[in-house]
Amino acid sequence: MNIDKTTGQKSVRWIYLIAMTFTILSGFSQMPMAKRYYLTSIPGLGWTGNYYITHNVHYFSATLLLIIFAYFITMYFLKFKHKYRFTIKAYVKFIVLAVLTGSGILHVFANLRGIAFRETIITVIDFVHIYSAVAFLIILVLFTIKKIDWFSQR
Amino acid sequence: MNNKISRKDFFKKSIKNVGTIGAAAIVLPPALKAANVKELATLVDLRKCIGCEACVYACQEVNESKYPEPKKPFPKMFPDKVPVQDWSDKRDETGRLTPYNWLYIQHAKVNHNGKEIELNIPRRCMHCQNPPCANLCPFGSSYKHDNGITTFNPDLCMGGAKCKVVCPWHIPQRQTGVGIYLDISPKFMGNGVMYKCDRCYDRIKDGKIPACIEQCPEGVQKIGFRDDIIKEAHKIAKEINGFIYGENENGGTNTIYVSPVPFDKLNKTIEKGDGKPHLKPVDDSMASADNFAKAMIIAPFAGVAAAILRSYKFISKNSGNEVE
Repeated sequence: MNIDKTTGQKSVRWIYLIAMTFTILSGFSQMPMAKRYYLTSIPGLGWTGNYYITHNVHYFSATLLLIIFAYFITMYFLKFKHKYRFTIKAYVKFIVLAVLTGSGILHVFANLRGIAFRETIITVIDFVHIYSAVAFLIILVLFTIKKIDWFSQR
Repeated sequence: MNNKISRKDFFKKSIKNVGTIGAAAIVLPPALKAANVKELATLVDLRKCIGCEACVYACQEVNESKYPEPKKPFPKMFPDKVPVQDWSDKRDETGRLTPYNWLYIQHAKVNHNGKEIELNIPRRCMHCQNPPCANLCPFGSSYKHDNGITTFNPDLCMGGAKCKVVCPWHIPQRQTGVGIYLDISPKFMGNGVMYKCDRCYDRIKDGKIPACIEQCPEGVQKIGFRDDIIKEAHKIAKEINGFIYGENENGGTNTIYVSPVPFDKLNKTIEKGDGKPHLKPVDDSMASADNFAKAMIIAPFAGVAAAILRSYKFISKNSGNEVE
């Protein structure tokens, strides 16, 4: 069921897809892999080798995603809750996304001037963020291949 | 019989015989011992440095146990272009920063106000106040401590060298063939471990001062609370019509140089390159991160507001009617 067509949220979904693509791409490029594995040689992706650009792109696209998540959750409760419900598989995606987003926000906080977390905390935040990102990518691919919907009609 | 002794051997022996005793005697002032909540900075007075390298050998002496001991041959990395960086057979190199040499002396010869002046400049990690190496490490193996010191964890570092790239002075140095990458996927991920000055964080924890400061015969360096060090730097600079470097570079560092000669003149004459940092002005590399963080706080509210606005428009447009 194509929820976007039914609810007129197609434009929001496009923004979500673009923001998610750049978040994933810039997130992957935070690791020193883009240049090593020739991603920077692909036309239009040279920026993935510049750590400051990928850092800013990651922050910007993540900010867009925060706006979209807040928008979507609010719209669901205001408008669509009486008609549609989330599937269990959607809740799985939400939990992983929440861990990914939460660890990302903590990372942003840790990067602020004047903030110095303990060593263990920094390491835990980084590893939780990396592992939840990998988990989210796996879920994304699985949901897409198996055409698993977020919603079902009440 | 050759009775000649090299300068290096002289200092090494001196440090072993006298330094060990001296190390026990020179402690951090009590006020600085409890400096876990306030940043410590070092003042480097370039008028005083004679380039004897006592600080360099002292650093090597106290940090020898932290140096990498790679096992050869190194596992082959993919693709072939991945550089192997092996300094294990060049441990005596003191003309640049390496994984086995965390502090070195740069030499500058400038003409200033009609006089030719030679200066020696101890160079190492600047210990930035908001270090990009710590903020941007993808594996969380670099940390900035409350007391202003930035250290790397050699047990977690994968040797990707991102820290070196994002450091405005490219300070960290890599040794291939050591570290956790060997246990994960040595062919496809990682390349070793990064090393740099850790400002003798373990000695500071024990109430001692960094070895380079302790061993300097000329008192070139001084350690103290950042505010006090900055004040003293400005006092000296005013007295000598001098110049300061490190106070505002990269948004502020905890290594404050004072020089009788402008730093742009020094920068022109020093030898620069890999392991040989510059003395150029540096903008705050993490400024955009702070600005984006503010935007992230507002972001969820903006999303909620947009949703409420959209729902209100929808309701008032179709007053009372459900729309498919």
